Amino acid sequence: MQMELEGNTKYNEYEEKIRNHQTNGHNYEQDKLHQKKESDAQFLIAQNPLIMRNLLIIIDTTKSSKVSDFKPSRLAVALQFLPVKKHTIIHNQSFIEQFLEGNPLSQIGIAVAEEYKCKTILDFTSSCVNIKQYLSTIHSINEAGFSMAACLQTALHVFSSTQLHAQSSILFVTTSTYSDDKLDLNEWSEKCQSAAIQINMISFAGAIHQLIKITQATDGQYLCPINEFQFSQEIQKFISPQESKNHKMITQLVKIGFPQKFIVSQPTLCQCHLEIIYNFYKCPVCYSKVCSPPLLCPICSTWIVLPHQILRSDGYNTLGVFEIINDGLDHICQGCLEPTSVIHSTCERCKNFFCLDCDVLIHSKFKVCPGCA
Amino acid sequence: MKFIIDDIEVIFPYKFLYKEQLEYMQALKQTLDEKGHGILEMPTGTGKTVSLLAFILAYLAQRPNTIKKLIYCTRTVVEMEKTLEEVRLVMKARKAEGLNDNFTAVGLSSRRNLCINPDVVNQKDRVDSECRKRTAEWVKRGQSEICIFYDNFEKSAKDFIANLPNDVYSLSDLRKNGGFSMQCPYYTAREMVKKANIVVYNYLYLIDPGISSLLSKDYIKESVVVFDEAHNIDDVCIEAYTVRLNKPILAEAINNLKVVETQIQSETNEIQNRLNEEYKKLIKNLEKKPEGELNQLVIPGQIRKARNFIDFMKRIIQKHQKHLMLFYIIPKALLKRYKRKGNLDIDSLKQCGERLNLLLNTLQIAETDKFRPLSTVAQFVIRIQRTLNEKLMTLACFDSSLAMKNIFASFQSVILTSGTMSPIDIYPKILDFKPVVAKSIDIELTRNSIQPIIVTMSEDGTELTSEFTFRNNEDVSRNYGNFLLELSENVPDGLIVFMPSYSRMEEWARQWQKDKYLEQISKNKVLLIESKDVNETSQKLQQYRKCCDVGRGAALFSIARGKIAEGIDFEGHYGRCVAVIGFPALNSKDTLILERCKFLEEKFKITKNDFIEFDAMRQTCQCLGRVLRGKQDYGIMIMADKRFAQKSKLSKMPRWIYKQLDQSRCLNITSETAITVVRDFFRQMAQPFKIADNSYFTQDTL
Repeated sequence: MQMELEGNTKYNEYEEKIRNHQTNGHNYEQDKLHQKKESDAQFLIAQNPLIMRNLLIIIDTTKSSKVSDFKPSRLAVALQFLPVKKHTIIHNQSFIEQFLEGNPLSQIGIAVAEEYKCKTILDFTSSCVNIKQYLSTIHSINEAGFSMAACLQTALHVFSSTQLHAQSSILFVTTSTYSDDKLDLNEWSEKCQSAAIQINMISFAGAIHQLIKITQATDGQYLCPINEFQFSQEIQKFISPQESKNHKMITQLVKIGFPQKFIVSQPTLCQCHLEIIYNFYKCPVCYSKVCSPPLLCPICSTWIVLPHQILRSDGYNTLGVFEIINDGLDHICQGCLEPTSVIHSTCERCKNFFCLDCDVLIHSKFKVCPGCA
Repeated sequence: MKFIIDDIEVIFPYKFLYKEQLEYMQALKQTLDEKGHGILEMPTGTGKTVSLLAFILAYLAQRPNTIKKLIYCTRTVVEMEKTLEEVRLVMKARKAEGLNDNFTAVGLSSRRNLCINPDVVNQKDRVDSECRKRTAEWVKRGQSEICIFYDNFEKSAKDFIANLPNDVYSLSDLRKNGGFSMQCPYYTAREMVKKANIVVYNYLYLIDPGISSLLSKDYIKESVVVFDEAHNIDDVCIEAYTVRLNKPILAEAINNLKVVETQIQSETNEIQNRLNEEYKKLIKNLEKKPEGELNQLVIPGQIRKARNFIDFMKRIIQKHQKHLMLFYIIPKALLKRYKRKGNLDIDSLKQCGERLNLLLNTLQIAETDKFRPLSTVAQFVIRIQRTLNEKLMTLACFDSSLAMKNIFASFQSVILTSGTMSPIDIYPKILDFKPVVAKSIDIELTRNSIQPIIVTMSEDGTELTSEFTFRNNEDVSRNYGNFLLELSENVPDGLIVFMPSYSRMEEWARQWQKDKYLEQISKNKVLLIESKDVNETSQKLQQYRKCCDVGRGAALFSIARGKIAEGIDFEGHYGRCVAVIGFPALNSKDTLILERCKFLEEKFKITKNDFIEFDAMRQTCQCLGRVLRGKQDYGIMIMADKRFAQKSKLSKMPRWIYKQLDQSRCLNITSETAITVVRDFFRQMAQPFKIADNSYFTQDTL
């Protein structure tokens, strides 16, 4: 995260401040400051963050995904961090869970790259359960032949049916050292560029010149993890909202409805997945039953969201970075209502004091300042 | 940027100066100060040429009494143009600093590259003789068409050249200028070479005895001569002095002679007059000759008359035809034979080349290429040093110091520089000179951006080697094939594979075809194979680059001594991995090479093994050096043969490669381990990276 922030003047000032405090703090406080730095980073990255995102994850399942330099295999590592799998070694939550929680108005779709073609296996959805179910069906094939152009073709097709006000981005998880295209790759990458689709890549195989060029042209990132741990770290970078510099997004009024929750004893069918459910939400416009907001009402196309989800997404616009104060005075933390330690921070808008623990929690989870709210 | 080394103020055209560049300039200064010769090794892609030019230009400007001229020798036309562009860059930077140095830089190449006469250029291989036809002295009388450009040049050459502003004249500039003013660019360049401060041209213009005698007359002693990419200079010297004769050439030469003879015998007055005139001139030359001074144009009596000369040549050719049957003969014995049996005088032999040119001139024969066999014979006779072999009679020169002797003697400083010149102490030996500076400069890398790997075994533990005794072993070739397949799967973008020889490559390729390795490799990468045809190879190179550009990736199979190994750079993603498969040793069964080794042992005390190892290692390192072209660049260097792991070979590696060799992890490993290292390396190198601040200087930090 720090690497791509280096040019950002706002970030440099911030870094300077943190460093001043770090030089004369105790170990415990330094740890806390480090955590604060990490949780604050996402608030510094974008001036005008995009809070509605459509992310298409394309997983390379060609022959090279079987290679076992990542244990047990490259594909297994990729899938281990993607799906909902609680209590994995490093993180309690997987990438997809964190993503959907951090971006409540966003959706994820999944596609797999096979021999010279690419196949969508799941359309955009915000349901963790669905994603988990479909990810478990992915397995590597014996044939080589990863084709980037074919993937982009599929992606463009998928994105053509999504709304224009959301940011579209693709996340490739590749294992091949080449892109063997029957189509013209340049043509398709230009099409993606003009459709303002951001292309990101996580490659297990090293830097491929042309693919780096494509990601850079669409303002995306090209990451190359050295080991499993770094993979889990790097994939975190896609959780926080990003600023797209060249996006041609259309500003639109979006029809949003806040649904009402019902718990019933009689089983009923949900409109979105046609599955039997016991607790559901009702669309305020057409009263159709849906299972897990946020989603687009399948009947009347109203965007059904819960109020706290909107609030959390909006946090990127309203919640600023808390200023560190080192005045040596005792203050009461507005979050946990306990006396703060030596170093504490303050919200610029409501001027309340917070201990570093609460600061980190607010910025990483709540995205809402308790004092302001 | 501007900085001062001792008392020389150097203007450098870039904002950064790497540490090794500064070190290089300091070594250069020492060489120039002591007015001696030097050998300098600096890794490829670190800005060798620009630092050399920036420094020597500064030296030229500030110490005009010590050196007056820079002669920069390159191997190819492309390199020449590149160098001239760098000169332009340096000059521009100097001008921006307000310095007015009045430097003129000019590139000189053959007629083929410079000619702008539309009738001549299209002739391709015959440009030289077509040009001579239109520009020779007698043409002016109007017998055949004159080249307009040359005619204009003749009329106003002096004014034209005097009026040219001080600037850099690359080949394309010369052609453009020539087009504007209707002046022949080739002759303009030849004229300009005499006056220019900076001259850039091919090695051969200095080394080849035929050409250098034309050009080097006007050179001044206070010059610096630089040989760029000089690691193969001994081969170039030897090649320049070697002449080959075979039956068709000799037969052709006889035909040539017959043509000349009929011309002489013809009764036309004109020709007879001319012959008489020529004869008189020669006699006059004889009279004029001052005591004790050697005059080149004194022709011995035996061949002074045209008719006698023809007889003389006839006898020589007959002798050679007989000698083609012989297996081996040393030159001294050959000379004796000439004298005893053919009544051929040695002095006459020495002069017969001159005489031939003179005669052809007199007879107004312009199609020199038709008479090449005859002049080849003449050359052969002039340069008798050593000779051998049946059918093909080769006058092979083994002594590379012979060609360089003249150059070292006639110029104040000669600098040999290249990316790979290790071991540096062998060059002074084989070229027979004493350098004042012999330095190998290290590269300072922020990250380990090169990874030499020496693979000696395959996965199952059998040895990997291209040794002659193993050549029929199918296991070896299968293991190599397997290794390449794995490599092609794990190397992104460009992969270049070097093999010892064409015959070996064909053998292996056949085996791999059978075992379906090639088919599998071509799934991962586009597979291209170097061929002997130059045009085809350059087409394949283009294809290769295109494949790397679109992300498909390509594998290029080539020969360690071929065209690709020399002079073609694979910068950035074009070369991510170089694999030298097999040890590219010279064929030690070849008579010529055996003889050369024997000679080197006699004269310079270099043993046969030492020389063959040295030659193979320098070839290998030259191949490996293709991969790193700059500080941002990175690449893997794989040497796959058990012989590479021997100590004597390791010690012959350039220091900058040897330093990067991780002895515990990458030396003497199996192919499987090597693949793991390769995978790790490419992931490591894909991490974001910035050149460390302490490895370069800026204006402020100096």
